[in-house]
Amino acid sequence: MLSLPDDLLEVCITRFPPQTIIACSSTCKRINRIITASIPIQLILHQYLYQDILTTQDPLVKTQTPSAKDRLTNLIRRQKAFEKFQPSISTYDLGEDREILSVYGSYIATSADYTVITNPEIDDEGRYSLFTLLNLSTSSSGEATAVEEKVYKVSFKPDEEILAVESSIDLSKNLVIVAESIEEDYLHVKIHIFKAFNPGDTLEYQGVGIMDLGRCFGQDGAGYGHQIALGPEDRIVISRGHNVQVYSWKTGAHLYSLKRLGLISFPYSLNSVGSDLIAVSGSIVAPPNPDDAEQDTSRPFDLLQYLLIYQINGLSTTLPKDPTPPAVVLSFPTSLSDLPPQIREKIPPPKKYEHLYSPGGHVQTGSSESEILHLTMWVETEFNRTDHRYEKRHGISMIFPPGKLKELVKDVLEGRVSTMAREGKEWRWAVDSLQIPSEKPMVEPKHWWKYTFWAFEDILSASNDSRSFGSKVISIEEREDDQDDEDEDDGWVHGDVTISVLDFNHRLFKSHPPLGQGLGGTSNESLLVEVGETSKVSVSSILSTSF
Amino acid sequence: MSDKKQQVILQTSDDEQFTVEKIVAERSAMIKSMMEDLGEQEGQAIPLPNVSSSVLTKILEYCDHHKNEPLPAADSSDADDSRRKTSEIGEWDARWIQVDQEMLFEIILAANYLDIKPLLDVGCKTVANMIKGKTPEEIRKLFNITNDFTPEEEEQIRKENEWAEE
Repeated sequence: MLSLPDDLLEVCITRFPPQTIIACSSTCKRINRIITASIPIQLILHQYLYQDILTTQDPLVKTQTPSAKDRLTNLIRRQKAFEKFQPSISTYDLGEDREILSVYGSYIATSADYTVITNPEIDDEGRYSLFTLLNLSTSSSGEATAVEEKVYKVSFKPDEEILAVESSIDLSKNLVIVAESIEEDYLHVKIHIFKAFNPGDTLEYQGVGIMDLGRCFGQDGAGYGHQIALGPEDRIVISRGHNVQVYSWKTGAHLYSLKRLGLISFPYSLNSVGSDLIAVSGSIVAPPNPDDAEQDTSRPFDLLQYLLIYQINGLSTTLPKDPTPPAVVLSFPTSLSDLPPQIREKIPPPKKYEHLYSPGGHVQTGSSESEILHLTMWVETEFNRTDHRYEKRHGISMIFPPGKLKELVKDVLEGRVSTMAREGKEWRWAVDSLQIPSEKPMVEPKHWWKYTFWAFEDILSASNDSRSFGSKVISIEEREDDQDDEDEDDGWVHGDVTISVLDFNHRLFKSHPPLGQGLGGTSNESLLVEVGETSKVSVSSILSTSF
Repeated sequence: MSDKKQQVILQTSDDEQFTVEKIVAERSAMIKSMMEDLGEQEGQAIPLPNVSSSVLTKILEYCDHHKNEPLPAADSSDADDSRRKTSEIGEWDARWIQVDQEMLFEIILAANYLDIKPLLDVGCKTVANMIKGKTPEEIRKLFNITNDFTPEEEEQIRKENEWAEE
């Protein structure tokens, strides 16, 4: 066998069953090196190692479970197809600079102007235009030019002058939510809901009116902004201060009160996952170590990040008196040893920990139907004492594939997953600081990482966004910010954007690196919207059912 | 249809010439494209400097047996798929490839050089069948591989694989 050259040995090994590949990897250095360095072989092994974790029932696609061989065949076929894939690009002229708020299929929601969010456009009748919905279509000849635009204007007339508007758009649910703050009144928020668009429709204003946050948030919420997420059915989740409140957007009724834990650290994120879970990220600052005047090196972070997971469907229909604590609390990795071995090994030297954190604002999920939750964290190394910043930043994605977060919560509640012992010295401060009731313990990373798919990217990105479409695809967008750019806060992307597409059915994780802004799509198609220098945007189909 | 144009001459590394039917030689995508490049030049031998006469004799048996089957489309991943799905080695192929180890790897090398994808596949699967279910030590013994890991390295790999098998 050793008479074969490396490339041919690799070809040969790709035909071996995974168990045989693993056995071969420990025969000698040369074969080990070939196996370790080969992407096709690593894909086969990855598929094999993760098949239990990632074999999930796709709730939206009813297909027979393919055999392992079929999955492997498909994986390799798709991998090949992806390498050859050239995105189709169509260019549209939107008329003027616009911020793209959301993309879905051939629709793009844009603001008429970037400043519209804080300074809404107002017409003669006192109606506000908040954004425009464009229907993009391409000529039958396939020419990459703007052919037809259907412009939908959404407008509504508020009761009084609006001072600050935040909008949240979920095109996948055909819902647009505009939350309106009232000056000097942190205890009320006005939610406007727009619903249903199909080609030819106009957006329908569903109304709703003022939600009195004061009664349930109390003074906790004063001075804080709020986070809004659409939950299942008509639920809308609003988080402010220490509490998370769940309302019905149809009736405006306050349904549940969910207790947040610990101290507030912004930014944090709020996501609804699947039909009955709400995930809220947060962090607490570790108390200073009295024994160490300088740096606490024994516990190298000053922050503990966690994810609070609430189960909505298990709650009673009558509003409980006390806020409901989370069903499960997951703690994020706090040291390199908390990371799964396959990720730990990818972190380049120095392996010595310097900084590991998860920006709460970058915890993302897609539509609630997808049941996907994507968490991000950074490992930062090589601290530059002159500039007081880290030179290297590595991104780690932790992705709960469809249904896996739900399964984890069920397993924790039924005692199949170990939870942290309160006596654990290392963690005691965390439990105490969070005031986690003993019956709602914290789950350490090593007990939940096997429910997730982990990916490591050697990146320098300063921001990150991810979306999932249907239950099949998640796209992760990483931006490498240009530090020297004069206009830092102009809302536009600087530097490169990397799009990674992960297909849970086929374990495909691949980067596609064009410049761009805006990601959207359906369960069958993922679209990248690239914004040109002025008003031109290009729409690339980066993933479709055709391959 | 049996005139001279349907024949092709192949010259091996040990300077032996084989006159074979064009349809047989065309099982090799490499020979097929060379024939297309050379055009209709009568009597010109196609040199195969990486293939010995004993291996070519063996491979021509295979090509002759499969000469009437449709050629796999060049670079077609679909053809790849259908072949992978039927992972069993055909009965004739299995008997034909009952050769010693040295010949087996010579066949794989030649199949790769001559670009005969189904043959490469048969060869690799035969190797896979030989080592299926075997331990690393048994694989070493079978293929005369020297264990060049230090005990520490071996332990490290064992640990990694243990995790993988968990």
